[in-house]
Amino acid sequence: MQHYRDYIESLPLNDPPEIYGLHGNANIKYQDIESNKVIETILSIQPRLVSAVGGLSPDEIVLEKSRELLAILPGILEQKEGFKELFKVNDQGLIPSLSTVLVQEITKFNRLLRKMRQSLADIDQATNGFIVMSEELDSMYLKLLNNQVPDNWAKVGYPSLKPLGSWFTDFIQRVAFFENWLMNGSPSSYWLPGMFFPQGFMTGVLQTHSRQYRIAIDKLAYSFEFLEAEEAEDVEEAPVDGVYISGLFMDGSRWCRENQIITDQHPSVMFDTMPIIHFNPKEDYKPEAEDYLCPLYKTSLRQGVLSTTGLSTNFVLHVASPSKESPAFWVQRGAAMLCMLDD
Amino acid sequence: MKANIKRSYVSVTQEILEETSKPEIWRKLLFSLSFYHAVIQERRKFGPLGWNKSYAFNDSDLETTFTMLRLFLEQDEVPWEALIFVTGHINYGGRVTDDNDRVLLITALSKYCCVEALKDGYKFSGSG
Repeated sequence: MQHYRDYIESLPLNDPPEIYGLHGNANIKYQDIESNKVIETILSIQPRLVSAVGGLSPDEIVLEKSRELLAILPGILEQKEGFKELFKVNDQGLIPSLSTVLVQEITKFNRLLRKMRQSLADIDQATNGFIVMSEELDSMYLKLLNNQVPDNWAKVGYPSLKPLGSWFTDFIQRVAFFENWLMNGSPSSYWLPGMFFPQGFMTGVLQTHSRQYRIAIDKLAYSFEFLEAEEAEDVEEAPVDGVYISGLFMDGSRWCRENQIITDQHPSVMFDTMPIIHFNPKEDYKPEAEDYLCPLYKTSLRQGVLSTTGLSTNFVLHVASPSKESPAFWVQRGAAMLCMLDD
Repeated sequence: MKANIKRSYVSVTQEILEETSKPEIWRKLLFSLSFYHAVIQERRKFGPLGWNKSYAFNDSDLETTFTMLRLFLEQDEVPWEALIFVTGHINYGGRVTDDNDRVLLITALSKYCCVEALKDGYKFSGSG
């Protein structure tokens, strides 16, 4: 017994991430989490009313920011004005599955757009004292001041961990993507991260295939092909079957372009972009046993709530990825694909 | 890590170590599982890279596992499959609500709870 106690005493005090099967970069992640906790605490006790001499007062900052955002806020997406080909019904009176997805997404974007326009106008009025500063507006005021996404937007929005500045840029891009899809017809590749509900889109693609080839939808599964093209602009034509997906990231591992496999990260490089991936539905498709079923999440939080559809609100699907190591290796590495980063 | 394993051994006495028909295997697995216990607990500090959700694994999970292990070892052969199922899916798995986390739980367990772990000189990680 004493032998065991002595042995445990001999273990090092600090443990390298390798014993958990993680990459050395995980330590950076850990330090990052710890320091964020400290910063969050400091932020939360910042005074609201005092400002440095010569600086702007909080009221001025909020007013300036809200006007700035309001000025570049895009307009509502109108389905009526959309590309006619998209909504053409087939002989069974159905519109294409992906157009259904498009309509659902646009509805959600419009709801968020309306909320943003309304509340940005309100906060202006409330800060100037023309209308009552409600609880909702007060919390929005604080968030704008701290460069965070206001709760009333997040409630009708999509999961995201970005601070307000990059959140807004990302939001404009999303709207632009859908506007382009709506006005000019189906794009050659889809920006999956831009969607509210990527799971719905994935099902839509399966349904399209199922209708086209008369295969029962529950027999279809995705196969994946990693292209050499990196950006959405690099692919000119859509594939015959399935879709091209752009804009994914990888966390806990990286995609090795030369060997077309997943491999270990470079030291201190926390994330890597993914090339365009061809998501292709096939009948009775089974991924290779040695492939790592890499989970795809919407945000780096990974954590989600189980929704009524039986899906996690954060998990999208498993992407079978070729690798030299065993799947077990990557499971312990915590390797995953992400739709977006935190900054 | 160190403190965690140490804590697991606080309640282990010499009598417990000898109270079995297969002392060799029992002792080795006892350490293996304590190590596993520490690994999955300490993994939480890495946030989403470690686990999708932060689970409150606690000492009673390990205690239960020890009790089961002792019962299992009274059989002629070590029932690895049953051991992994009970430990991974029930004792610890009962807390895990995310499917991808469950995959990780079982994968990690298979590394610590296997025939090779009984051999002398088996290493849990590259650095020993």
